[in-house]
Amino acid sequence: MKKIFFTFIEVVIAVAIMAFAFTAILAVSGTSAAKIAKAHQRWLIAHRTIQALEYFLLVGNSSATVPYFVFPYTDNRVEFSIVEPETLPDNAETVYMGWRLAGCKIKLLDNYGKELSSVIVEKILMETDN
Amino acid sequence: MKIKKTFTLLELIISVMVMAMVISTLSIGLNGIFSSWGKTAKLSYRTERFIIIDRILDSAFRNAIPFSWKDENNRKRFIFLGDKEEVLVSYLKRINNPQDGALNFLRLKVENNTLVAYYRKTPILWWQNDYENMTREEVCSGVKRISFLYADIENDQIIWLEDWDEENFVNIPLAIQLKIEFEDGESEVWLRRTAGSGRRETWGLRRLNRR
Repeated sequence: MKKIFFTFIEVVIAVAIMAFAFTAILAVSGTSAAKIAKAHQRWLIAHRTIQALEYFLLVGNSSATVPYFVFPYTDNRVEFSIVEPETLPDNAETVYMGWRLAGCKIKLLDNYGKELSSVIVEKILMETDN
Repeated sequence: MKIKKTFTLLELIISVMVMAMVISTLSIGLNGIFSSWGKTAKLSYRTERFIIIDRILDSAFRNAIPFSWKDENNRKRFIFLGDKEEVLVSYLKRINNPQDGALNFLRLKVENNTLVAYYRKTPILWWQNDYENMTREEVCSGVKRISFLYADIENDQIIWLEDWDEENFVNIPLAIQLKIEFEDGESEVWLRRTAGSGRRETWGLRRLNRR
């Protein structure tokens, strides 16, 4: 009975194909993991911005500091400020009977002060709100 | 005569060592892949669920309104229940079908470590334990517990309450915060203001809340 053996070159080619397939699977898996991590990071930034913004709009005062139980994120901080509204026509009264339209601006920063996101929401505030 | 070729001890030892090296390398690699895959799958699931929670809270909490219904004693009662671990809200929704109306009612709670949302188009008369004919949606699994905080204003300061007893209040809360604690130790919070019930939104005319 004649025995059939693989040659050395055949074995090398088979191992190379297997290694190539393994590397390709790893690359695809790694890319999808990175994309999911990026999507989660984008969601986190948007969520934390909204979380702080909701608090700011609830309190209506830029000097307020957001409590830890509302913003329990140690790797981010927020800055509130009140800016002039952009949508108010030029000839419109800025203050009416103690009320005014204001832009509530919020910036989400990392611990190094780098701005991650920024949003302005216009809202009716009391004239005394600052 | 046929010569029987056998392996030497050295050949056997070398081959066993090579096999052991290959198997250990493969197992380390595969373990890493499975571990990474598990983490990615968990992160993917959680991100997807968080987006669904965003959708529910953006539609229900942000559009929550003080809607009342008369009980058997002809007394007006809010279709709102604010417990520490459960909430029931009435909210305005987009009209897709005129027969459905513009109101919807939501009950949010944890059942068997799963965050569950119950919906109904007609008022949920919670004081009668009227929880029949509701649409159930499993929102997120792996939940250890949830807790709510309810914001109100007192002496021009925001105060936070762990429950909202409708016997004592004439409004719904200014805002509701949901905190979800997961079984793996992670947690996340969602704060949403309710619709048009704030002091500034009512031009300073929000009714003094305590009865």
